[in-house]
Order: sequence, then C-alpha cells, then structure tokens
Amino acid sequence: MAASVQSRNDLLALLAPGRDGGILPEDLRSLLVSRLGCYAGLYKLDAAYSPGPSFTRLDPDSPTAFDSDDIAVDTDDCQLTIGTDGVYLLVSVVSTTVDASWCDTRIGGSSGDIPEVWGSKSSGYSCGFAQVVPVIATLSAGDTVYLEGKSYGAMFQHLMLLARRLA
Amino acid sequence: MADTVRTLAALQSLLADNETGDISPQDLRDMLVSILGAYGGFYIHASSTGHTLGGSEELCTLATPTAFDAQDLEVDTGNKKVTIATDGKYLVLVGAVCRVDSTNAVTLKIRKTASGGSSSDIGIASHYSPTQADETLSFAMAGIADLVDGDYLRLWVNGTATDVLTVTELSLVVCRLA
Repeated sequence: MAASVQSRNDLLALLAPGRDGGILPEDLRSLLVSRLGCYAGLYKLDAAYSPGPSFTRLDPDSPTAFDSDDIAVDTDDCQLTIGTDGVYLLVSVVSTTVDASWCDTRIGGSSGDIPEVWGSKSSGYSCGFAQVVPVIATLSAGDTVYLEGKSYGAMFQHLMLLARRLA
Repeated sequence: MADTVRTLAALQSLLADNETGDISPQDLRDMLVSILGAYGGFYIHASSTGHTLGGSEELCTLATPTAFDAQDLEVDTGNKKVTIATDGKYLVLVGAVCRVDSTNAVTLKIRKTASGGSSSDIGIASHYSPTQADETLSFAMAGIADLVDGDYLRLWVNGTATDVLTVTELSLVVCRLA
C-alpha cells in the first residue's frame, strides 16, 4: 500500500496501540512523507510591477517555481494549490522600490482562513525594502494561496511566496 | 500514556535499536508529535496603539494580538508572548510594520525570558533609521533559538526617549525544528 500525507490525528490513529494488524511499514512511510514532504514556493525577480491602489492579486509574468512536494505550483496564475488538509506556514517576501509613495502586501487565497496581516512601506524617501509576512493557516486540499498587493507609485521588484506544511 | 514531545536526543535513545522488539507504538507516537508538533504565534493588523519610548531597551507596547493556530506551545495574547513547552531548537520569523514620530533610529528585538525571570538576546533584531517622521517602516527578523520549557518570547524596542512608536502590523511565528 502506498504511503500518503496524512493529518496529525490520522497518523496518531495509525500508530495507536492494539490496532488490527499492528503498525505497518507504510504507516511509518506515511509519517515520513507527512513531515518531510509538503512544501513549495515560487518567485519572480525584477518584476517592476505596480498593481494599483486597491488590493489585487499579484500576477507578474513568468514567475519561477521552487522545488515542491504535494503542493502544486501554478506559474501561469502565480499561485500555490494545497494538496493535503493541514496546518501550513506561509511566508511572503516582497522587495519594493518606494519613493515618496506607498505599497502594501499580504498573503491571499481561496480560503477565508488566511490571517490578514500586512507588510507596508510608505511616506519616506528610502528605497528597496523587503516586506516579510509569515503566517500560520489551516488549509484544505484544493485551496489556493497567492500574493496580494496595492501601491501608489511604488514598484514591486522581487516577489517570493513559500508554503510549508506544519501538521 | 500521553503522547509526549521529546528532544531529538531522547527520541534517538528511544529508537536506538529494536533487537528485542522494544520500540513501542508509544515511542512512535512520541516521535510523531515531536516532529509534527510545536508551532504557533500571533499577529496584529491595523493597530494604532502607540508606545512612548524611554530611551533604553524595553518591552514594546502592542495592541492585543490574534493567535495563530498553535500546538504544544502557549500563545498568551493578553501578555503578548509565546511560551515554550518543550526544550528544543525553534525557528522564529517576524514581520513588522511601524511608525515613529521622528527621524530617530529604532531597533526591534525578539528576546527570551526564562521562567526564572531573566531576559536575554537571542540574536533576532532589526534596525531602522527613518528619513522622515511618521514614515512607515518595514522590519523583518528571523533566527533559530535554543529554548527550554517555560521560556517565553516577546517583542522589545529601543529608541530615543519621548519618541512615539506605533506597531501597526506584526506577525510572530514560532516553529520547533528539533
């Protein structure tokens, strides 16, 4: 039987004492892939991208996929699609050029359960700052995750989005 | 017996060999909760809570945060701290957005406080010198911290006395690595 990524509670059930047939090698392999698998990411360098003054999905041309496992990377739509229910660490890093203007970023997705917290930069004459937003979100298989941003005069230069399953 | 988060060394000892069939389902469940457990943190969005700086390192006044999902560590939103429940190495990630009503520099840090009460640096800090008052400042911090049961993590600040710092956005994530 094939091993598969499973939830923490399902794995605990697999390893429960007295289970019929005992603990099987595939149970241990499921534990292994549940911990070592389930990661993905994408990035776009030199995007020179300005999305406008209202939050919208960031969809620069031709982002590049990082290595991934159990999370689909869709570079056409600049998004990640979760493969297995679970709790995920999501991290966005957006490097911006700001000159007497402003921009904000956040992590968006099809699930309403992604915590809303922003990265921001505005009002100064300094340039080239990275906005980092790490969150923990409970997601389901099929949920999409993507970057969102808005700006007035600012340019998003380098974009990165990572996902890693925690449990 | 309860499933127990254990250190890497303890797990390696439990799983040293199985010559007499002594690796039990409990040992494996302990391994499972050890490698899948222990994460959490909190976040703040659109806060206007200000902190009048005292001119030295001090705890940062924050709005009441919202807890992320957490497992095997305690997120205390009232006291704005994350308390460790199991010894180990922890990944700490922080994003913050602040304003200062001056052009004086400000430093943010994540410091640990031991259950006995002493606080210390863990090498996680970020510094910013604004180019104008009330500029929106973007901070990023990351590190790996060696923490023990009862240690807690909080946000500290250091800046020029009487300046007012406002942390408008904050995200603190803590994940056990080993």
